[in-house]
Amino acid sequence: MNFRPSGYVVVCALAIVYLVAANARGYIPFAGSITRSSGGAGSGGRVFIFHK
Amino acid sequence: MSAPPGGSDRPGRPKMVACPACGASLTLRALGQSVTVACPSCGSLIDVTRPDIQLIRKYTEQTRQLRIPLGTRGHLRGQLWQLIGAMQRSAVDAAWEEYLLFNPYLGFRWLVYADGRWSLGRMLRDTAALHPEKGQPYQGHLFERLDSGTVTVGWVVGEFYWRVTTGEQVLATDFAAPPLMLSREKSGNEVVWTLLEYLQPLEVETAFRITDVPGSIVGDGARQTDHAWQTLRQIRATTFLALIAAFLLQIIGEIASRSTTIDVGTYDLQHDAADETQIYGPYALRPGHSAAQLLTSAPLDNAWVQLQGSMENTATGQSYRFDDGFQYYHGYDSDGSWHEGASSSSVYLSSLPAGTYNLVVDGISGDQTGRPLTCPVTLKLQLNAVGWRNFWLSVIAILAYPAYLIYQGLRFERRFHQ
Repeated sequence: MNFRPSGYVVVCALAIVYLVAANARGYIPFAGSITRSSGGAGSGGRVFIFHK
Repeated sequence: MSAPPGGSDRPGRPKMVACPACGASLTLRALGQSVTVACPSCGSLIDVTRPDIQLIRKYTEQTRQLRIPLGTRGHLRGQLWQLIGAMQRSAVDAAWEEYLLFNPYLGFRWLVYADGRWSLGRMLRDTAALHPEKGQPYQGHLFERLDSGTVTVGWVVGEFYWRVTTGEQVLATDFAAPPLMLSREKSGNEVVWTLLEYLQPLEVETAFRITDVPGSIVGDGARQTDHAWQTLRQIRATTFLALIAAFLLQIIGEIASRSTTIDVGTYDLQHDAADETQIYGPYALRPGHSAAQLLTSAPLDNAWVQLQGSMENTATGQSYRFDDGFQYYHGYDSDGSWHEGASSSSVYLSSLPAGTYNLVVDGISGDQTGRPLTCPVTLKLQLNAVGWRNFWLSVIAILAYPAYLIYQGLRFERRFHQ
């Protein structure tokens, strides 16, 4: 991991670009087990299984 | 540090010659072995291999201010050495000075002054078994690759055993095993290995009776030595600016998002199977994509709550699901009172497309006896949420390399002082 200061500037720039882009798009990392599926809005047919 | 001509072990006698450029008197201390001499008076480069002493190049720069004057003699590591030449070399991100020491019986050594630290170098002749890049130990030391790059001669003063000129370049690669360092220099087909050993500044200052060495390390300056510290100093301004920029952009993002928090209502935990699912809304999300955060809380007393649900697009039917749960227990034992967990929680929903959504929530709960709670769960929904997770990820990316350098620097310091 010996890169020159110019390489580190690129890393910093990419980190900032990521921050701006992710915030603008509403991306939240590690946002939980979110899955997308197609179903009725508020409709029945859901099965909730809880484990405790 | 090019290879000297053969026979460096033969004693030589100093000889006085006149500089063909300025007429100043030059002392050839390694007569018969030196190839070039840079006049300390005018800086001209002189070929001393020919009997008539020819001028190679006339310099216009003034004589350099050397940390150790040419001709200085001193006992270093039990041997008498005389300083006969000096040059400055530089890479992309550093510059240092190399002083050529000569002993007519022992040959040449290099005294290198880099970033406040001295090291003594000896050219290695038997390099057949020298492969630090392959992880092979040398003299019982395991060397790690430190840096590599093109090294350029900035200026030269004194005499040298090869025809050194300003602008001369080699490809150098350093391997470190503090307090030792191996330096490989490649120029054309010639490869030269030098083994360097760090010296305490006092050792050099005592040997050559020098005081007030510019930039010499003392006390806290010892930390400004190794490559890691040097690189860290070079990037610290970039690190600081990047952190400030990230923080400001995060604040601007928070303000620009215009996030709003809506009191959704409450979810009744004391339900039967027929009405356990409750639907709230609708809520409109802004164009593009945005995040939402569901904030939940309940007055728990040795109990737990588990929620599951989704944001469901009323137009497309797409469902974005989430899980959330929290618990709070407290009590008293022989160590005193204790508590664990929290009576509130939150969960993010990432990158929701624009549209109108219903919030669908289902939940269960239990107390110590396993019975459902009678209290409601308060629900709040933050729309256009930004959160700080992206900011902290950026901070980690920005600080990863400096943290690595600090780790390397501390490791070198610890090994150096062992």
